[in-house]
Amino acid sequence: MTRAERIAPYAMVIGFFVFWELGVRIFNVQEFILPTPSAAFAKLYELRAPIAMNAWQTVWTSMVGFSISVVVGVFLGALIGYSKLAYAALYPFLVGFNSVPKAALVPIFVIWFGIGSPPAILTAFLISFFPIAVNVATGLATVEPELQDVLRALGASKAEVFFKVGLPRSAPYFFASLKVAVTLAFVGAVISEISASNAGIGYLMISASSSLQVPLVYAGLITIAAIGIFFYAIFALLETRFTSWAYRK
Amino acid sequence: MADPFLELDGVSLTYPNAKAPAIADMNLKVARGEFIAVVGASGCGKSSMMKLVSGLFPATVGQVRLEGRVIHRPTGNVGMAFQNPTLLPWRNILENILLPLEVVRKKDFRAKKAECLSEARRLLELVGLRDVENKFPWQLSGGMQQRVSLCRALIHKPEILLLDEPFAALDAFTKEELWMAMQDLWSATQCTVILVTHELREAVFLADTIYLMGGKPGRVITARSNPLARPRSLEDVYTPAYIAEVQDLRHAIGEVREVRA
Ligand SMILES: Nc1ncnc2c1ncn2[C@@H]1O[C@H](COP(=O)(O)OP(=O)(O)O)[C@@H](O)[C@H]1O
Ligand SMILES: [Mg+2]
Repeated sequence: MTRAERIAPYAMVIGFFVFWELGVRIFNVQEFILPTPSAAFAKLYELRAPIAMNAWQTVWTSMVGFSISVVVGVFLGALIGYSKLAYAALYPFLVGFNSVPKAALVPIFVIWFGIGSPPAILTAFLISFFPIAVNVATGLATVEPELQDVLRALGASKAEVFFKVGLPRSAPYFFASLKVAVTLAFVGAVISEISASNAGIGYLMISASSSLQVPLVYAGLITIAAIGIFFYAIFALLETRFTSWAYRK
Repeated sequence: MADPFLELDGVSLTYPNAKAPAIADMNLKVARGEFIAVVGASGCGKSSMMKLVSGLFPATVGQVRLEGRVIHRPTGNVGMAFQNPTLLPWRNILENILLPLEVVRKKDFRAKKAECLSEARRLLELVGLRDVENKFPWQLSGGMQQRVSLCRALIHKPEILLLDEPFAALDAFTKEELWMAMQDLWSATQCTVILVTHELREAVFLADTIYLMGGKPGRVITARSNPLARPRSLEDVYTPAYIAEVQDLRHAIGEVREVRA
C-alpha cells in the first residue's frame, strides 16, 4: 500500500467534515436545519456519558442479533448450498422475505414482545442474516465435486466433508458477508430503537429530534457511523487473518 | 480358479436422475497388484466405472466385488486422483497429504502423528519432491501438484488406486516424468491401479492390461494384455515393439468405431 492509499481514508473523512462545516458557515444555514459538525462534536463531548450508555445498548442488541444471524445464516447457507431441494424450496421464500422492509415489522414485534431490547435484537437479526446465508451457499457451491468424491470415497460423512472442505472453502465468502452483515445489524437495531425503545442511539436521536436538539441528532449519527466503521474494521481484519490464502498472488 | 481381487460382474449403473444407464452389463476382472488402463471415448462411462469401484454409487444391476465381498458403499480402501490436483489451498503440502488419514484414522491420527508424517515424507521422496512440505499448493507447478495429489491418494495405504486422467492436463515432458514417478510408486506400494486415460502411449507405458470401453451405455469391448517387459523406461517409448503395441491398440479402437458406424 502506498502512503497516499494509507492516508486516503482519513483525508476523506476530515475533508468531508471540513466541507460540511464550511458549507454551513458560508451559506449561514440555521442550526435546526443542519448544524455544523463542530456543534455536533461539541454535543457529543458534552453528553458523552448518556451517549455512551445508549451506544452500549445499541451495540449489545445489534451484537446479539448479529450472532444469531451468523448461526442461522451459516445453517441456512449450508442447507441451500448442499441440498437442491432446500434451495428450490427456500430461495424464493428468502428473497421475498428479504424484500420486506424491516422497519415495517417493528410494530409487529412490539405487539409480541413490547418495546425494548427484543425488537431491536430481532430486527438486527432479520436484516443481517440474508447476506451471510447467500454467501455461505455460494462458497459451498464452488467446492469441486472431485474433492468431495476423494473424501466421501474414504467414508467421510457429510458433516466431515462440510467441516474439512466446504466451510474453509466458503470462508472468504463468509467473512466478506460478515463485514456487510455487521453494519446491517446496526442499521436494524437503530431502526427498531427509533420506533420501539426507550434506550439506544436510535431512541436518543428520535427524542433529541422531537425536542429540536438537532446537534444531538447529528451527534447520534456520528456515533453510529463510528461504531459501524469500528466493527467493519474488526471483521475486515478477521477476514485477512483467516482467509489470506484466497487473496495470494 | 480363486476369486479375482476385484471383479465387476454384469454391472449396470443408472444415475438416480438419469433415464438411460451410463454403464450396462460390464464385466471386468483385476488381479491383486495388477495395473490396468481403461481407454475409450469421453462419455462412455469410464469415470462412472470408477465411482462404482470406489463405492460412491452402488451398482444398479450386478455386483462389484472386492475379494469376494460386494461393494455398495465407500470402504475407505481406495485412493483417488483426478486431472485437477484438487489440493486444498489453505493447507500446506504436508497437511494436504495427511487429509485422508484425518478421515480414515480419526482418533488414531493424533496418537500416530509421527508415523503418519514419516509415511507422507516417504511418499514425497518416492515421487521426487523435496523441500515442499511447508509450501502451499499455489507455490508448486502443475506437475508437482499432481505428484502431491498422488501422495495424498496413497497416504492411507489403500489397496486400490483410482486414477481418472491424472496426467491429461500436463505438458508432454512433465507427463513422461510422471509416468516414471507413477511406475516407481506402483512398484513401491504394490497396490492395484486402475488408470483411465486418453493417451494410448500412456496406457501402454504403465499398464499390464488395457481395456477398451465404448458404446452407449458403456461396457468393456476388448481387453489386451501388454507384452512389454518391466520395468519400462522412457527410451522404450521409441522402440519398435512399443510403437507396434500402440498401433495395435489404435487399430482395435478403429475397428470398434467401424463396427458401430
Ligand atoms: N452424476 C451423474 N449424474 C447423471 N449422469 C451422469 C453423472 N455422471 C456422469 N453421467 C453421465 O454418464 C455418462 C458417462 O459419463 P462418464 O462416466 O463421466 O464418462 P467418461 O468418464 O468416460 O467421459 C455420460 O452420459 C454422463 O452424462
Ligand atoms: Mg471422465
